[in-house]
Amino acid sequence: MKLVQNYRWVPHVLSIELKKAFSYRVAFWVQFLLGTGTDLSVAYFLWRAIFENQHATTMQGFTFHGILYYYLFASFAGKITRGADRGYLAQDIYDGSLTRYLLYPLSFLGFKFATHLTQQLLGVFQLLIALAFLAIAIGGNHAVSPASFAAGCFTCLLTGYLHFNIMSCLEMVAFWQDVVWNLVVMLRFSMSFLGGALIPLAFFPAWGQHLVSLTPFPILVAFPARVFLGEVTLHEWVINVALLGFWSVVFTFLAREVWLRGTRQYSGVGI
Amino acid sequence: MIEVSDLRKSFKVHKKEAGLKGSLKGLIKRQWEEKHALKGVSLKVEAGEIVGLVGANGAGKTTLVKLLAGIVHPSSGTAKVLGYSPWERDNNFRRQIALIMGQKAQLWWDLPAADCFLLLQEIYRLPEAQFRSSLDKLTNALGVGKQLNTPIRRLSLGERMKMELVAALLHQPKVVFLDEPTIGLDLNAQRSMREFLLEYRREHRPAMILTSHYMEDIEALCERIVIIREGEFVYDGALSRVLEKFAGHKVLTAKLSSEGDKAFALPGILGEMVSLNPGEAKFKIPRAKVPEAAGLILKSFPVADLSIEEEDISDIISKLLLESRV
Repeated sequence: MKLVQNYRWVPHVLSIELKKAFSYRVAFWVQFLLGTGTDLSVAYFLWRAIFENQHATTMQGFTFHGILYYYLFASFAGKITRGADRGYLAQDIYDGSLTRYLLYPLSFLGFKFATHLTQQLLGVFQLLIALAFLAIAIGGNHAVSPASFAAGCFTCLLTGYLHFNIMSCLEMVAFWQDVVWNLVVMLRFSMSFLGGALIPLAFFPAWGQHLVSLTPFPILVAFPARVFLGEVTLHEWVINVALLGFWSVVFTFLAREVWLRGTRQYSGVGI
Repeated sequence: MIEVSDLRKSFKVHKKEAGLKGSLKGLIKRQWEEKHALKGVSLKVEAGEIVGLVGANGAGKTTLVKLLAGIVHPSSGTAKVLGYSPWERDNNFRRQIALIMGQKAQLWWDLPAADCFLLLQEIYRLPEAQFRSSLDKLTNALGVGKQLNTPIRRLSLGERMKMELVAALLHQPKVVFLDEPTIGLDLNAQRSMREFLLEYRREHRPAMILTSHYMEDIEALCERIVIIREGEFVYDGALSRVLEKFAGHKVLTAKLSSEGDKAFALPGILGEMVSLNPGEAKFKIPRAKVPEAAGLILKSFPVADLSIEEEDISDIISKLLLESRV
């Protein structure tokens, strides 16, 4: 009951963030159409050339339509998982806006997670629009069942929590260093490459797949993308979610430690 | 309500030589300098008191406020605000304090004030009836009811500051920190802000700490001031006592019915003539010699009216800030 009381503000933050996102409608559509359009166009032209060149109908188990669907879901799984990865935490620390969250009786990381969650919901909404468009435009045999769509969305919420904590650890380096965008770019690149958003992990050599599996990145992108595609068995899902749980515990603990040490350093610049 | 004992705060500041050479050196080895913002200060503030923190830029006023509001951690020393250590940031502590910063917006820039206030209602867990009554009262008193649905970034500075004030006082805090609350405001807005704060104090009796560079704020709001210089308190007491204790002179202004004698000179022991203009002469007289000097001036000048005033308090405080420790 006390927990519910302490987080009474969460629905309000969700509603405010959604209102903000919908009120900047140009940004909403540009970000959606340009981001998704670019990812899919690159995938379409690149893989069409590869398939034609190889005179193949399947590659590593992917048909041409199948690989396009994979890219669509990998792109959205990454997007939904990342949520609001726009340097909010680092910026707040850098310009002193963190002060307001230290004054109000709420958790800073909790508040930021609520805004992150809103961006995740927006990602799901955009995925629905993209799916509707693609079903009409290219058809194919990879239509997503409602069950795998729901499972994919739920998995993305879990991966989003892990990503939020990894990102928080990096962004809170701003307590000690003014510039942290390079760390954020590194995380984003690692997530794309090692997570299987740039090239499906099935195309990696066996040793590369093994090495990548020791990091949390495949669980952040390739795993939810495959859940969307209905390729993950319940047994595999449980194992991956357990792994996700492990990484989440590690990074939640780390984020908390960095927060506690960082706030001791904070000087509240700008006031 | 507020008890501070031997509080110290030091910051490590990166020291960089000017120019490209300095920047290159900084890539290899950085030099750090320790800055002592507070050097062991002690203070007690009771409910209903408004204490003015006065000092030059960089004296440590804002650092003290930030410490007491729980924004920064001290290097050493103790402080209890409402029985809590501020930097532990207990939610019960944070529900009972407010900090208003004239130089930094706390409300969400993109949102209309009404949305910000609704969010604050949830954050502070205010019952609907209490929230509505506080909001109506505050917005009416400050005259910002019509701007509630305008995004904060579109408000004028004065309107924004009033909204900040409403946001800070919605939950009726028991301790209020005001850091330069009237900075940048026009004279009318400054006055209405002061009147509002006095009214709020009368009604709720919070402990308040105010920092301001405007002596008008300090004189209008504070009975007690703390003068801080280079991280140390040099005076803590009644504002009126600053005049008694540190103002060595009074100013006598004589309105003249005809032109005064330019050659007139007060005997040195009685003070000096500061200015003589057509129709007015001004004298600076040691406090103890005022009656004697007034008699002599009345005898020597065609005086139509004589007024005796204290020295300007801001001049005295400026002098105090420059002089050595009292």
